[in-house]
Amino acid sequence: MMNGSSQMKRNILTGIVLFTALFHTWSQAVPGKDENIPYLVTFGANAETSWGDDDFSQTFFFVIPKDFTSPVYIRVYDPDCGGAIDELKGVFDTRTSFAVYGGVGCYTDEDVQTGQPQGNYKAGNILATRTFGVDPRYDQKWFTFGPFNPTEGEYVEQFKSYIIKIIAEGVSGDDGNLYRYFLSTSPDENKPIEGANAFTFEYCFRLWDDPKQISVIYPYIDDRTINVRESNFDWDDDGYILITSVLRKSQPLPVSNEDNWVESDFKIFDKEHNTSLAISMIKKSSPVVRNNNVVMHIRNQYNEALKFYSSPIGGIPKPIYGIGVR
Amino acid sequence: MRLIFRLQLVLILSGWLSDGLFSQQIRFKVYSREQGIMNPFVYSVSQDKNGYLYLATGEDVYRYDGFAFVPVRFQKEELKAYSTRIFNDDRGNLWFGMSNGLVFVWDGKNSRRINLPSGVTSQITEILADKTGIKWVVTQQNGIFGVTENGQVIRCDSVLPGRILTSALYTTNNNLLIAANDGIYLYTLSGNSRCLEQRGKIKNFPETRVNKLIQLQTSQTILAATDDNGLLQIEADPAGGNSFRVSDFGKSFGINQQSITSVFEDTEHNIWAAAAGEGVVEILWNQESGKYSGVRHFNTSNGLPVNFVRSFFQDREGQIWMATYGSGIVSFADEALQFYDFSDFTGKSITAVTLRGTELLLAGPKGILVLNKNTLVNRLFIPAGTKGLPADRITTMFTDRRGIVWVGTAESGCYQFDINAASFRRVWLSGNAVENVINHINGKGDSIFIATNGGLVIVDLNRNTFVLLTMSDGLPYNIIQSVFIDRNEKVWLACASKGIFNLSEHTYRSEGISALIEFSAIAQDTNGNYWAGTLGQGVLCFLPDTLFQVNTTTGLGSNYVYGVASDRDGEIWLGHRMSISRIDPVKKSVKVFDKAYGFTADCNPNALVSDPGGMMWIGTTEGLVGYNLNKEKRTNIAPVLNIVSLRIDDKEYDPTGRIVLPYGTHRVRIEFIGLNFRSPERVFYRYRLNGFDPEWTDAGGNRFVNYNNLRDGKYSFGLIACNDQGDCSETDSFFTIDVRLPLWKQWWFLLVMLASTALAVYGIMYYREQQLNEFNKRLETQLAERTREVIQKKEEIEQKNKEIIQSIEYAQRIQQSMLPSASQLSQYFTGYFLFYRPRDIVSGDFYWFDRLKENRFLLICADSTGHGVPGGFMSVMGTTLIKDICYRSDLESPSEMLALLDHEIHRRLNQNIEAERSNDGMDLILCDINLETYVVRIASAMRPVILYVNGEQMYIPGSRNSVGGTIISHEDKVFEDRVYAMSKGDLIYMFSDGYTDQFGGPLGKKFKIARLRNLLKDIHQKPMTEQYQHIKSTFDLWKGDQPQIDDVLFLGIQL
Repeated sequence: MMNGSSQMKRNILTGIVLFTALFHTWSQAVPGKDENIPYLVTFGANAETSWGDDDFSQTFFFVIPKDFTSPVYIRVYDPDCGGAIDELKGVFDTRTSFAVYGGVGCYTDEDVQTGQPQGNYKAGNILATRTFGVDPRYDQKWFTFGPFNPTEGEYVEQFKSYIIKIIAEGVSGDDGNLYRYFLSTSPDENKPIEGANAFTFEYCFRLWDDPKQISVIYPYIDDRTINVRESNFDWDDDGYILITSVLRKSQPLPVSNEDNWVESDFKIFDKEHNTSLAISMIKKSSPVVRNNNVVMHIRNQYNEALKFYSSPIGGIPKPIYGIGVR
Repeated sequence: MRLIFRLQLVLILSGWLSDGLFSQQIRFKVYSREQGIMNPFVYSVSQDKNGYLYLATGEDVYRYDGFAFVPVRFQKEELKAYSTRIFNDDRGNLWFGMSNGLVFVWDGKNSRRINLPSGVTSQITEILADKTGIKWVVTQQNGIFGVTENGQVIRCDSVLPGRILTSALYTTNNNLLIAANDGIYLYTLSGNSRCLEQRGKIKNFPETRVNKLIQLQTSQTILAATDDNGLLQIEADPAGGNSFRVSDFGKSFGINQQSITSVFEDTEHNIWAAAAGEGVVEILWNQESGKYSGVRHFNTSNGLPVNFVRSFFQDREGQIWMATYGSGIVSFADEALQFYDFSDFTGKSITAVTLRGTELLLAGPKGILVLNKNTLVNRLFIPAGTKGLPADRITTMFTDRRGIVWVGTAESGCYQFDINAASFRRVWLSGNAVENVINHINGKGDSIFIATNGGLVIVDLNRNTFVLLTMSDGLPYNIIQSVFIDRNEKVWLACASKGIFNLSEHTYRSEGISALIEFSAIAQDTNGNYWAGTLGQGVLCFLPDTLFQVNTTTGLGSNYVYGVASDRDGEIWLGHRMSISRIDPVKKSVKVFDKAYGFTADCNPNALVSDPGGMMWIGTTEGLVGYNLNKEKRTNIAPVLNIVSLRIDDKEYDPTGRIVLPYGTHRVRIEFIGLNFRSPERVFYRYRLNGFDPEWTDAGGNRFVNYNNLRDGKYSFGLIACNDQGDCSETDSFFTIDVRLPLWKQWWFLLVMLASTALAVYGIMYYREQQLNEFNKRLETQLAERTREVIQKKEEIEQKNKEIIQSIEYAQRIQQSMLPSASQLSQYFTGYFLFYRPRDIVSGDFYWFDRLKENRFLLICADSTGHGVPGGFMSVMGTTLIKDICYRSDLESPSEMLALLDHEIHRRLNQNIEAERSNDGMDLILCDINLETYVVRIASAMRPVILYVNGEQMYIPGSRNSVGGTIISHEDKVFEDRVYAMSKGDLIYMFSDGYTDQFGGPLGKKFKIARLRNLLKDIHQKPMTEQYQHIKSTFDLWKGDQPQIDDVLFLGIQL
């Protein structure tokens, strides 16, 4: 049982580390440039989970430093479901809604932080919403939500930032909508906000078809974490998942198969606190698995979901397996 | 903090004016961070009952008074939310809906929170009121709540669960339309539960998010601003029921699939639509046709600071305010004021302007541009240096009756411009340079008047001749600034003079002007009064019998006037540097268009032209400025008066009602404002503190007043504020201050004091009376006691006196017995008398006589020191000593006797020298008479003797020494013997000083020796008995009522 004083110190320390780390980031592309993930993916509500999306919902949070007071925009690349990028299942009939939330509870609500589309996970004021079906106007083009006043987000003292949430949900259909986000200062181009970042509690994304491409995601380990449980879904046994940290190098994790979850636990060392882990996904060279969509989340010993930052807090852990092409 | 208006932006009329020839600009006022709006994301704007403007921004709510944005706090604790919606209720209170579901009601000073049910955390998207006064609060995701007049909350949180509620509209038929993210739902307010009853979703309305609903003022038509479908129109189906017809309202105005975030209808029925990311579309309502007739677009490409506008608001003055998302709030500086940039043709500066039928001619450094004055479409452009147009500065243009345009230049003289031929012809006036400096050209009929630096040139078109008039021809000055032709076709010249010069009559209108004034231009108002602009003196209005001056102190933009013109409505326009002024000749009010209106250029001389169609054209250094009187919005709304602060003795007071202060001298500071958002800096104030100020005080633009010595009395504060159009608000008594009278001025205190004084006086008098009575009683008692004592003492004294007197009388008898009997003198002398009167029974005066051997007769008359008992003692001692001495045989002469007597007295009286030395003695006459020979020897100590020898009076003074008395040396004390051979019948008089020293007579003086000698002269021949009677009566008569001062002894004998 942790006493209150040490808990407070830890919270403060975590806050300082987070705040410092966040303000040294400079990327609001989702997926981030260090992740080498081609697209996020959300299937229509009528899709089968075996296609790689366990809940047809994906939530991302954008962190905007409180000192930034200019309008911000959330840009979505290829928000419609149709055309070359998206995953076709029969005919394109999927409608995907994108909803931007701010205000009280948009991050701090307990249901929001489970990473699961359950309960009051949509807490907060809706700042903008739009549902896309097949719309060539936005096929392989950027759609811009906003402008948003940063103060319309929920202010979180721990981050000393405002947080704006975006939820993508497959309203109907069974196709997979592949898309990307960018938090921008401009409605027409991707101009990052200094010190901003983005994170999610559950990552649902497309792996590269090219087996030489390695994608990496970065869960942040706070100082309360002593043990974690990594869960991956529908990996289709497509290669390896290696975990790297400041202390460990390419520790393999069990890989899920078709339409199932695989979990594995491992301990967290003190030196790994307040750093990011790197979870690398290395595809098999043969047979080549195409259109592989996977889901992943990590929980600590309290069953609390850990955050995957698009721009890893504390930077990429060393040593790390090479990112990108092998 | 005073606002500095940041002015920018351009507005291009869409459609018809897109030829690209020029840009028409309407200046906006932008209020953002620089003006104090720290978070420039503005969600809503409203105005409270006191006239203040309120802004709901992404952080704070601000109150704006025309000068500063002041944050408003609804509660002490940090809200951690921002206001998303402001609603103005029927009482003028503002309802603020917050992003976290809170609602506050603000009455201008205080706020109260509306207690919505717990769990309402979703932002407020709409607040509205139904006809019963219930306020309906729409939350984004927590349903709708009604708030009754008494604050009771009606829960309708089950309304459209799971949907996003974005707006609502209460319609005139008691329905509530609720806008959601998927369309519009109809509710009625007639349910038994007092909550809303759903009637269904509006059919035919697309599945789209509706951002705002409004109902047009003049119809049942509802407009819906949607996310993807532009501006849709909803009308009740004539078939009735809940059917509605939905149509695309915006399509015909170019609003198609745009996202419209807000829609608003102003008081002139124009529709304002905020297109997300594309600025604002204004759909213009034509009052005459009763239809929407056009569209204006405002966006960043033509100057709007941002393309995202969240809402609109029209204030009480009619100004439209746009709440922008990221750039604060924006309002039009003045829509009638338009700025045109022809720099691609004429160059930036428009130096001359003239009208020619439907054409507007503009001259600039690059040439002359001919436009259609209505469409401003280019018809002709003549570059400078071509077609005969000199490359010179064009100073003026004038169109004559033939349509020929006369062009004046700065150095090259005058030209005629034939527009049809597009050619110029120089008009030769003079070879003299100054006469080719053209300042102004005007004309009437066939006469053209050319104002030059060398005089006035008059051209006769018929005769094709001209004449030059100069000072030698009676002109006031050779440099003529402008020529004005009045309604009666009289020609007036503006130049340096003591008045405006009437060329037709060669007279002046000076109205008493004595100094030389440099007039620059002249105009005439609808009443026929002349307005003459000057360079340095403002503008002078020549009324029929007096002169009226308008200058900067009375509100003019500048005292330097470069052009004057009268507009269609008779108002006078004046061109200055950096501003233009417009004077209402009736109200005498001045409206100035300066940088606050985006006017930052200098007006070029004589470049003001009035178009009868309602336009004023002004050539400036920054292009052409047009003022469209037809677009002018004159509201005649006076400023709203407010007391901002009332501080008394450095303490803030509520400036309403009556303020009571204790007696003393108070310092009062009053800050006030007349709210006017069109031109807040040009609100002028007058104030008066009734009871202190004898009359209204002109405060100019100052918004405070200090009173440093407010003493006892009743005061009320009155305020007048007038805007630049002369519309005034006046309040005689905003509040009253009652400084209490001092205690000593209170009527009750005076009454109490009067009563107290009367009571005190009465009390004092009563007390004194009591004291007096007691004192009198005490006195009476004491007096009685004293009287008794006195009587007793008196009796004792009387008794003692009696005893003393008896004793003294007895002593007198003893003394008498010691004195020889006077009758014995008759044995030795012919006659005698003795007047012997002791003062106090016993006498210090005494006499003694006796016959000695050998016929010697000694007669002594002595006056001892003192009288009464001491004198008696002295006399006894003297008698005894004298007897002893006189009977001694060894003493032959009287002087020896006296010497011995002196010695003996000294010896006897100073035996006990230690006790006290005695100076007692006696004055004495010793007369030794030989009875046979009548030889008389007299020795006298200090006493005179009067003798009558043979009838002649002889006065014999005594020696200077007394017997006894002050001790001096015996050698120095000499007694002499005086010897007189007298005869029988001669008289000897001896007396003590008691007779001669007696005071009396009519003047209270001493009797004196002289008077005695005269007496004796009178009586010495009388018998001695008669002499005695005379001596005695004379003494008594002389003494009268005076007390006897000494013993008296007077002895007279006749030998």
